[in-house]
Amino acid sequence: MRNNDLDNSNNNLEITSDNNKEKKQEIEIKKDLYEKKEEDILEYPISPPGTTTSGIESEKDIKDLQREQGTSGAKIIKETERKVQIEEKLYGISKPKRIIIKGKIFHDMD
Amino acid sequence: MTWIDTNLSERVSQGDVYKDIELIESANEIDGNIVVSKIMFPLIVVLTQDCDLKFDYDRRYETKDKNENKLLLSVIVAPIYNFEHFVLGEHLSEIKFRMEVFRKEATPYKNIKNNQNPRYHYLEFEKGTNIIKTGVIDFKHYFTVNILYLESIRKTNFVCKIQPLFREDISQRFASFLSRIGLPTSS
Repeated sequence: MRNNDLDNSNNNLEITSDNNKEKKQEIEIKKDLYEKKEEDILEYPISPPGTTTSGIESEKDIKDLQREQGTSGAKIIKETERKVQIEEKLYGISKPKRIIIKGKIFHDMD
Repeated sequence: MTWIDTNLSERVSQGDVYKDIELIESANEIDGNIVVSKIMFPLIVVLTQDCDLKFDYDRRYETKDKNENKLLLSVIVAPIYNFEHFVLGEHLSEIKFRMEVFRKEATPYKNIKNNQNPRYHYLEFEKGTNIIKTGVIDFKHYFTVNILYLESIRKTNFVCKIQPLFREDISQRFASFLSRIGLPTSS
C-alpha cells in the first residue's frame, strides 16, 4: 500500500510539473504576443487627434491599444523621439546615409 | 562607463573612434558613365589588432626595411550607432533597413545594455565628451577601409580613443562573435 501511495504521489508530482510546464509555455506565448503588440505600435507614427495614418486610425485607436497593454506605448515613443531630437541637437550625430555619385569619364581625343 | 582618451596619437590604433567614414558599396562604369554608391557612417571604431597597425605604421613610415610582409591592405572597423536610434530600430532608416525594435525594460533590451548579446557592444561615454552619450557597436556590420584612406583623414576625423582595457574587451567580444559556430536546428 505504501508503495502504491508513493507511486501515486510521484504521479501527482509529475502531473503538477507538467501543469507548470504548460503554464510556463502559456506565459511565454502571452509574453510574445505582448511584445509583438508593442512592436506593431512602434511601427506607426502617432497621429494627432482626428487625423489618420496608415496603421493607427485615430486617437481612439491609440487609447484602445494603450488600455489593452496597460501602459502607454505611445507616450514611450514620444519621449524617446524627443530624447533622440535632443541628442542630435547636442551632438549632431545622425544616421548612416547612402550617397550616390554619378559622373562621366572623358577621354582625350588625340 | 567606457573610459576614453581624446588625445590624438601618431598613428591609427585599435580602439580609435573616427567620424564620417565611407564604405564604398559599388563603383560601376558603363559606357563612360560612372556610378559610385557609398554609405557614410557617422562613427566607427577600429577593430584591427593594434600590433598589426603598429607594424604597418613602422614599416610604412619609420624603417628602411624593404620587406613589405607586414603592410596592411585594409583595417577592420565597425559602426557605432546612436543607442536612442538603435532601440527604435531606426538607426539605418536612411539606407532603408528596418531593424529590430528593443522595448525598454524587456529582457533583450537589458541583455544589450549588459553586453550579454554577442552581436552588440553597448558603450556609455564619459560626460563632457563631444560624442553621443550612449552608443552600440554592431559586430555584424563590420567592414574594412583602406589603411591609407584612414591615415589621410586621421587628424580631421579623429573623435577619441577607447582606453586599452575597454578596447580589449571589445576586441575579445568581436573575435568571439566572428568565430561563432552556427549549428543546424532539429526540425
